[in-house]
Amino acid sequence: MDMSVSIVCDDMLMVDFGSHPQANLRVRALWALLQDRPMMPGVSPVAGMNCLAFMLDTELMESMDLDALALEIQGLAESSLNKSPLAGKALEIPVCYDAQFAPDLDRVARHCGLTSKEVVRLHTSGRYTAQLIGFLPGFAYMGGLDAALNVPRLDTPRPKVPAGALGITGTQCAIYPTASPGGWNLIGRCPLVLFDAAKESPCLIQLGDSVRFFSISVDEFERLWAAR
Amino acid sequence: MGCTIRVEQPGLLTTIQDQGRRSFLPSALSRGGAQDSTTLATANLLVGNDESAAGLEITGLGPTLFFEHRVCIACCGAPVKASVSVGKDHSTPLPLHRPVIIPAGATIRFAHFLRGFRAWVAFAGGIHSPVSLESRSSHLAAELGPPRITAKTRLTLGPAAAPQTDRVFLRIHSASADQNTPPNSAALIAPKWSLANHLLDQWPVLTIPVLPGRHFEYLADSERSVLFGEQWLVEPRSNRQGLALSGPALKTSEMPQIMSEPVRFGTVQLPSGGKPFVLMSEHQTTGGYPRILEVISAARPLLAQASPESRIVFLPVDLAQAKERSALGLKDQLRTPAAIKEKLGW
Repeated sequence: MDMSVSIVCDDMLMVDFGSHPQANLRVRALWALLQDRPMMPGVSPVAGMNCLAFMLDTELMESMDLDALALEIQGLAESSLNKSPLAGKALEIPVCYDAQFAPDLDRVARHCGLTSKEVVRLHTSGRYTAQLIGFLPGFAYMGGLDAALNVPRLDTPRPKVPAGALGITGTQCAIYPTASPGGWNLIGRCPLVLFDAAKESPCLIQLGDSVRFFSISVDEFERLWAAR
Repeated sequence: MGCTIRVEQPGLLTTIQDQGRRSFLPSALSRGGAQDSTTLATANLLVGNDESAAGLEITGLGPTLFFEHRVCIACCGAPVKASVSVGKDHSTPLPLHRPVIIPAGATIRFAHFLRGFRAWVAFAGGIHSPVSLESRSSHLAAELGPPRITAKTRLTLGPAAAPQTDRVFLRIHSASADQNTPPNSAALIAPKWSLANHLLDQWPVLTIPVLPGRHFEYLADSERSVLFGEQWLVEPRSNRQGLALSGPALKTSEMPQIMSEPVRFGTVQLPSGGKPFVLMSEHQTTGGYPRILEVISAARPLLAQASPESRIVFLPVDLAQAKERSALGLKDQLRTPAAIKEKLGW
């Protein structure tokens, strides 16, 4: 498969796995390799959808040789090609799909030619993989959404989506960790804390994690939300 | 009891900043911290702090601060108009780019900037806001750390504030010709020297050296001439997350659809509206817009000075030039602490 390493800026390198259907798996294989063989201090890997970037913090680096670093990364990326992707933890996450938390559920159902119940059933029967942590602290792009639920983003993003809102678009779903503007179709709400600054690893969902959702009642949502 | 400073007027946007949060990129939390972390580090060194101490970032129009105790401060960055007064005495201008001993009971009124948009104020002992995720700084976009400064904020300094202030005072005092000033004088005490600052010599034009971004190749020649020929304005809605530029819209019809990829401080994106958007220290860690330029690392301090009054000109450079400037910048960073130590004689 095609793979290339490029210098994006004088303190940023990128491994690009191209448009290969397995590109995202390759990103997580390289990520797994980097967990076992950490880079020198000052070099932070950041995963993208089909690519993995290395951000350099020149103040923390003993020496700075971009070309040598690019070669080292090329070597790592090549040796990751036959490695298996990072196996994350398995998570079961509660979501309340009640209409009050799911402003787009009816429209999504109509768009897909399904009932709202069928949308919820399809969503809770899937298993999703966290392909990318981006956009907001703790925001996990989870791939693996059933093809029957493929809906485009909203034409005009909402100025404010509440914390915990579960959105879908294309082949992905995600939970907004904090209130923010957002353009995904909201079909439910999760009462858990997705990003907790008091924890050593603040993200509930991390790269490569495998996620399933289960439906909870409004009462249960309120109880869990109050316990946040 | 720690030294405290009372905020009387918050200014346009005043926040507590330090070197930010460096280790949370995989959690999608950008580093944040001072928009020009090097200049805050320098201000810290001038008051005897560790480079990593927290200070204030002042933006556009500065705050009014009342000093309940005698404290050594240093204000670095863009030249801000600021005056110090004690009681009913007439006010004197605050000397910049050097340590200044502010007497107890003094008020500093930071006003507008003569050039530029941001300055950083370090206080002996550092501001002791609570630490969250390895930093005391405000990350406004992620709603982490202390909120922005308001008229009710009291800033508590670290326990080293008083002894460090005394230490700097003795250094300045012993080096000055006028040795008769008693140590607890109500006068402003500052050395005659200051650190040079040439960052804004071309103000209001900010010439920003850039490398071509990953999707630059999709821009037609005509669009490239506009990109590099235009003096771009900075929209007032710009913030610590990014600069929204205004000028002629670039044609985006040839731009590819891209998947989210990692971005950093200095990445220039081109959304479908055709107006470039420059990411700042509180940027999102990934972005799905085409990236047309990357600001070289050495030019980020200049980006921090972009205001609605400035004009941004993108200057294309190659990687060799970017590396050279970065190496020069690092050398300066290494030289500054030594120069300060020499000036303060420790």
